Amino acid sequence: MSGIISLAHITLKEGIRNRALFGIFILALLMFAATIALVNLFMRDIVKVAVDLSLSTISFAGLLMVVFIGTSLLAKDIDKRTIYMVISRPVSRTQYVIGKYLGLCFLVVVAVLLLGIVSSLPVYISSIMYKNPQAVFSWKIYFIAIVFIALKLMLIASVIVFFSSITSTSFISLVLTIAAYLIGSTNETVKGILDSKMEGVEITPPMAFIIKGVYYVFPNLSAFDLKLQAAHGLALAEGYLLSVPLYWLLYTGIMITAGSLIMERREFP
Amino acid sequence: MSPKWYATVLLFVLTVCYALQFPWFEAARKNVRNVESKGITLPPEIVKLMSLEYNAISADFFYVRASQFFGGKVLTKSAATQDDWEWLYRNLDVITELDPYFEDPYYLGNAYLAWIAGMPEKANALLVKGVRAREWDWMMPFFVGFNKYYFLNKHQEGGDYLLIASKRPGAWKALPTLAARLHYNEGRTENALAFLITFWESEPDARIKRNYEVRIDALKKILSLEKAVSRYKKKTGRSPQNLKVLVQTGIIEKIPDDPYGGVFYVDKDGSIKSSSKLAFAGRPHGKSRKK
Repeated sequence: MSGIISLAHITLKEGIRNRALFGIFILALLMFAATIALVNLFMRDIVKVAVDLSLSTISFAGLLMVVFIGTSLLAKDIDKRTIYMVISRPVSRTQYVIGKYLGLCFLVVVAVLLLGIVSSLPVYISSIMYKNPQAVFSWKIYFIAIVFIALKLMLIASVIVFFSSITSTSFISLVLTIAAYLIGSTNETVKGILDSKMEGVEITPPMAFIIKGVYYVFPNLSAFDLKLQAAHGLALAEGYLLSVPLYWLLYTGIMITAGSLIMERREFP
Repeated sequence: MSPKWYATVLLFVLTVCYALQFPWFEAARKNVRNVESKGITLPPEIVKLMSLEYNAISADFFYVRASQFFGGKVLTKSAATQDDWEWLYRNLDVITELDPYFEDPYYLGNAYLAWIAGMPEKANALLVKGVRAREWDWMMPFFVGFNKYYFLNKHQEGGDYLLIASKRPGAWKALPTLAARLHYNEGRTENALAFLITFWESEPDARIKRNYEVRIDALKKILSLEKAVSRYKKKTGRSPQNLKVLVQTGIIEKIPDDPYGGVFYVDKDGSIKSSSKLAFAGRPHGKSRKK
């Protein structure tokens, strides 16, 4: 257990020391500042626009962080052969995988917490700039949406851990993770088109099978996207706060377990 | 001479050339931009897929694009073509599919499509989505009801929508009365004025507000002329042939000017109309309007 904790601690420290993190944070801060200027282009629903921009910035900055820093923290260990330093110590490979993943999760929590606090400022400012009597906004759903962004990023981190265990270069695991992200953000919409039998769109049975397969194999990242609900203060369906975290827990569990299984059997050159 | 010196001279020459070619470059870009004009619209399903988790931001972006394009048209007083209006409708349709709860595209669609483009049916097609999604917002059914009554002459349906609006929180207190009056088809001009003043009060955009002011001014003048006509009828027992008669008999001092630049006249059915059809010259006006 102490091995896992110290590995997580080292991973977090390594992540914070990464120069890319500063770049990503500066980008996020600029976006938050721009939000206050951009909302002036709108007539009435300016809090909605501020929420859209703030949450999208957190999500995008977090994604950049997880994908670039995550792949470099994990796959580079193997790429640059620094993993020998770790596996020569009394730490099992499963402990190594879990430790690395937890470190990445800490990094996500710290970053999202920071971005979440900073992002509420432009939202607050725009809410006092113009009081729209027809707007419904609730801070509670706003912060739930931020927690869900953190969950989504941790899920992507688990996918990175899985891909890093099967590939030998960080570039390949980066490409695979981006592909998984693109598929994960769209598979629900594609399945929706399949289910609704859109006019003029012919879907052959094998194609339908593939679409369904992709829907179940890849993570459904749309489930973690509550930007619309946060922007308009729409109440969440009953049980949403339980069923989606359960989905998250099972999916990340599968990724980490599979990743450590592959890691245990893997031969390092 | 040293290579360093050559490099410095080369850098200077290149910088000067770079600065000199700019007008030419910008002119070339400008032509391309004119050809591109307002950009294409894609089906909402495609935009949803392409924007990944950033649906809401895409909606915001498309909204800004549409509002800037038409804002520019209004500011420069250049007439928008029928194509432009169709484009606006398609654009707003995509925006309201991406985020059906977003309030601004409904306002923009209502202000431009119903009031300037003379396409109240299209404005209502958008607004009906807003009535469904923004179920807490009384302004959405209110706009639909007004458009049905004022532009489309569907008094019953207009009254129905006003009743929906009156049941939503914060709704304007006089709505049930107004709905009843619409159902009985009473006091058209007064009803329209009451509606317009509400629009004007709740409108934050100065450009659109100005539009309403002109319309309110015109309707107030029409209302005063209508009252003068009914006084003339009471006095003489017949309808006036033209408005000059009202001045000659001393009922009014002079015929007011139409703020849209037209001339007011008495129509065959006895109602007051204007040669401008209550639209600025060069802009399409509401074809189905009867006022």
